[in-house]
Amino acid sequence: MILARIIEPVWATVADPELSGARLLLALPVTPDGTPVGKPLVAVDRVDAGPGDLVVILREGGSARMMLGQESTPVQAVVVAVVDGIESEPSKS
Amino acid sequence: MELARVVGSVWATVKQPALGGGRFVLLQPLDASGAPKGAVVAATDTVGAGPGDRVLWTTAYEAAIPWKRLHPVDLAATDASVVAILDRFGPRGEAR
Repeated sequence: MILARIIEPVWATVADPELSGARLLLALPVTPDGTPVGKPLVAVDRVDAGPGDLVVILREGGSARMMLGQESTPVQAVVVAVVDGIESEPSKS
Repeated sequence: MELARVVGSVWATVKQPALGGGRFVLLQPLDASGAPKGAVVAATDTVGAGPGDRVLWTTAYEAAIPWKRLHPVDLAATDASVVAILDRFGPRGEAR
């Protein structure tokens, strides 16, 4: 799973049947100190996260399907937690 | 799922039988601000995305799911597919 910052919701009226109606959020992966890193992604939201929230995103289709309880949904990312607090060593990279 | 814009389409008469009758589109991946970033990819499309549409697309096994729903094949020969077309206007009518 990755840390990410929610940018904004995304709307897609025309979508794969298993995806339509899902709440989709655009997010940017970040390091523990909040620096953006890598490509943005869109995740199905299940924890009512909003713009600006620091969240944990699960990035694997199989577990996403298990979590969503739908066997044939082309989802690869699900917001699984809104972070309240974070503590980490300063990154050496 | 990731962001991209449809920048073209591809026709191929000679191809994997499992891909018969399907549509290919060319996707330009986008960064968070909507600017192009990364190489153009070819993807299968089952939601009817057209040139200029901003879309969500997916890779790996998930890319085969939409395909196998429409085409009863065992092995869907695709690793990238469009799964949603992003609306051009938000709920308050603001252009996206």
